[in-house]
Amino acid sequence: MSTEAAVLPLYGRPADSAPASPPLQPLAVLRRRRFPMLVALFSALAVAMIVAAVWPPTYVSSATILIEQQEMPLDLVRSTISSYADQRLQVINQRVMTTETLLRIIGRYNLYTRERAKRGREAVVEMMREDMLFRTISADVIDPRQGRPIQATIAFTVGYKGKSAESAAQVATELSSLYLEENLRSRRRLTEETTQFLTDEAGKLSRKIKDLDDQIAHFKEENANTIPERDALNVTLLNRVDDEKREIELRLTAIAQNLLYIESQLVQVDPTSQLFDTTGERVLTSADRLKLVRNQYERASAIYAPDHPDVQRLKRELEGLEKTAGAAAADAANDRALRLEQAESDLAAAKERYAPDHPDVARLERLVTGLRESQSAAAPAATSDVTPDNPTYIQLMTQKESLLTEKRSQEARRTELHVRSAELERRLEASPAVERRYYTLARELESTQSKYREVQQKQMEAQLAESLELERKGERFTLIEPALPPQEPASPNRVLILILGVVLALGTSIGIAALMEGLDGSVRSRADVMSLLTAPPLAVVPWFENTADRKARRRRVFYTVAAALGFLLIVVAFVHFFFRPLDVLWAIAMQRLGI
Amino acid sequence: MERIARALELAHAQRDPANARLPAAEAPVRTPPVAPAQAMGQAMGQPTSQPMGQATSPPISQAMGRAREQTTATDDTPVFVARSVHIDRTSGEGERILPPNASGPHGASYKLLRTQVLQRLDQLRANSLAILSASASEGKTLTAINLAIAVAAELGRTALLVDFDLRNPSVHKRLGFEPEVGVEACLQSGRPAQDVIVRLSGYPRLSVMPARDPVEHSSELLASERAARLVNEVRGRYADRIVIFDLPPVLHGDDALAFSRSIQAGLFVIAEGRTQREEVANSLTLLRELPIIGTVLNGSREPQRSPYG
Repeated sequence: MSTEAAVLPLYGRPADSAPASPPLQPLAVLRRRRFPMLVALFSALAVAMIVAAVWPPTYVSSATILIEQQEMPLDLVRSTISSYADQRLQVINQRVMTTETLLRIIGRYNLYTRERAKRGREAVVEMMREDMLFRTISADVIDPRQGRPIQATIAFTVGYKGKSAESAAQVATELSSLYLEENLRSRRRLTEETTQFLTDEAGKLSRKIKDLDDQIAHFKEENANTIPERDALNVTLLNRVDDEKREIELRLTAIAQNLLYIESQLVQVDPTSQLFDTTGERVLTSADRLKLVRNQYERASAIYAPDHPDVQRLKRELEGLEKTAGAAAADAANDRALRLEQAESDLAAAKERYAPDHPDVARLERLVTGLRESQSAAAPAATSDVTPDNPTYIQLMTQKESLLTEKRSQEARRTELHVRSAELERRLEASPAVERRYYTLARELESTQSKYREVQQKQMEAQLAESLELERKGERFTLIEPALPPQEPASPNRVLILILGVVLALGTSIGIAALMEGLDGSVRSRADVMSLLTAPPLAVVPWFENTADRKARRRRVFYTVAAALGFLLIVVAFVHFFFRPLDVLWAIAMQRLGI
Repeated sequence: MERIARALELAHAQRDPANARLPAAEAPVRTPPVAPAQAMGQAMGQPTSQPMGQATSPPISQAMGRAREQTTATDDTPVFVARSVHIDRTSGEGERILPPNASGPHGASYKLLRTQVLQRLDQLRANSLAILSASASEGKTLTAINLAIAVAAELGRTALLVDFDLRNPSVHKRLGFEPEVGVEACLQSGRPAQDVIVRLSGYPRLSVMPARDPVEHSSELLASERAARLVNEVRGRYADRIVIFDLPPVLHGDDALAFSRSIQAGLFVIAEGRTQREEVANSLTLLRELPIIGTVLNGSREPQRSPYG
């Protein structure tokens, strides 16, 4: 045999190659690290059990409230509340979850006693908010307004996480009733407000209508005659007036003609009837004589100057006659009137025929002026002493009088009619402006009335909706599941904690083992040596235990057993207090075993 | 048989004068006190060495010659008788020391170790072995002691355990006795080896050269000429002697390296769960010039179905 074979082949290993890593021997590791692994396992388990035991339970109690749709068909009664249930729910949420409300609940049910002393009110309210549960339950529905499927909230749960079952149930009940009340209140309030609003509007409109009515009545009163409805009447009246006026004119013309005729007749007729003497000559009465002389005098005064001897002679004659025939003064006046009239008509005719500076015209003018003077100089109160006795004259005079009377009355009537027609025309002219104003008012009235009708209708609908709410026939919240005290705590899930603890313990122990193995760089087995040196050891000398080692081992065993017993005790206590009491378990076991 | 009987008589005759006389200072011929079994072994060593038929090294033939001389020695040749020490195997560390015939639960492991070591030593034509380890408290000293016991348990071999761990001599502590003279005296002041060698009572064929006090410059001592001569001397005395040197931990000093030229073979002790892999690698790198014949995994707590591990 060569000497080289006796030498470790380590030196044949290349210089830069690292020794191979030790092989993994899980069973050996398990055995080697059993003590720390067990310690880790059991301490982790103990911790888990303590945690599972000690963790304070929380109980969750919640109530379910259903959002029921309106039963009556919407066509019959449409609710005035048109928002989605989600939105309203959020609003109610905000209204219920105010700090004030929560503080009240906290005070009433004596929640968070410890935290209230330690921390402030806001912190406690915050804790309350976190302990409250609010969850909506949705379903797929078809949106009636748009026809698309949407998620609609059909119910919601409101609950509370508390430290004891009763208090959780109480608080949850309180919260659910708060929601229900708030919903009712808000719905009623909304419908009432709507109705109230509409009523107010209707009132306002009706007042306005009344106002407008008054205005129109007033207007009509004021402009009674000029309002357009009167136009037809006014026009008719005006026409009539015009017709009458025309008639009057005609009549007046006729009268004037008649008067002229009669005047002309009168002139020709002697008021007195004439006497004839035996010879058949007419006897000149003194009046006649006077008349004759006067005529001559007046003619002479016209032709000659006043100091002409003819004129003077005639004047003396005239005066004498006048004295004697005093009674003829009246006659003379009458005569003078006649003569004046005649002269006037002559003058008129002359003026028509001749130029104004024609001698005839001048002569006639002088005559007329003289006659007028004498007439006025003479006693105006001179009544006609001469009683006319000519029947023709009398007849004519009577006709003349009647015609004059008629003329006066017709003229008066004509003036009346003038005034009247002026008035009517004025009315007609004013009518368009009045018409405009009137129509403005009328339109306003009409629109106001139609608005009023609308509002009234809406008001009726709102009242109907209000009563719908009052009768709770609209959409309503119904408590379908009240908040009952839970029989078991919602958390912690002690079994889960235990399972987790077991897993954790296993993990910890494995981790500890792995860690220790990893950190331990020592040679641990024959295989290690092999991997390190590619040659196994010549011999493996086992560990030999001397007395001291044995004592130490025994001591260790003792402590281990003691710890295990202690652990067992903890387990038993755990089971007894938090799972089932031991005597119950014993009874169950006995029962199961059939003893 | 005749020769055996004659050897026995001789041994008896030698014993008495050996008890009466004090060991001489520099007797060229040193006859170690022989128990009857030892004498028989020696006598048998002669014939048995022949059948092994190997080419014997000069020291062995010289030893053989001396043995012949021994058989014919007269009574006035000063013979050396070493002190016998009793060790306590009943308490503390002593419990781990093997009984004389290397029996017991872990005797099998040591026997296996011994057999393989002896095979390899024979292959290397070496008769000395240095027990090395990476650091302290790895069972090197105990391994050395127990290996020596196991070697001594084999008929035909003797073992000499030399405590060259001069930094922290612990062989005597393990064995539980206080040496009068330590091997450091030999190295420092040239005391003869006989003064230091002790026997262990109950352990035939086993001798120990303990060290008494720790020495400052142990590596220099070990590297000195005197040390080399001492090694040669103890090695060459008997053909069947295996010398086992206990050395300080490799990583704690350069003693092993200093002593390396006198090392024929080395055995590396690894303590399970204590020696770091890094340390093993480093140590072996340091010792790459040395002929390491193998390793021992010491203190294994793994259940073994066989001593092979």
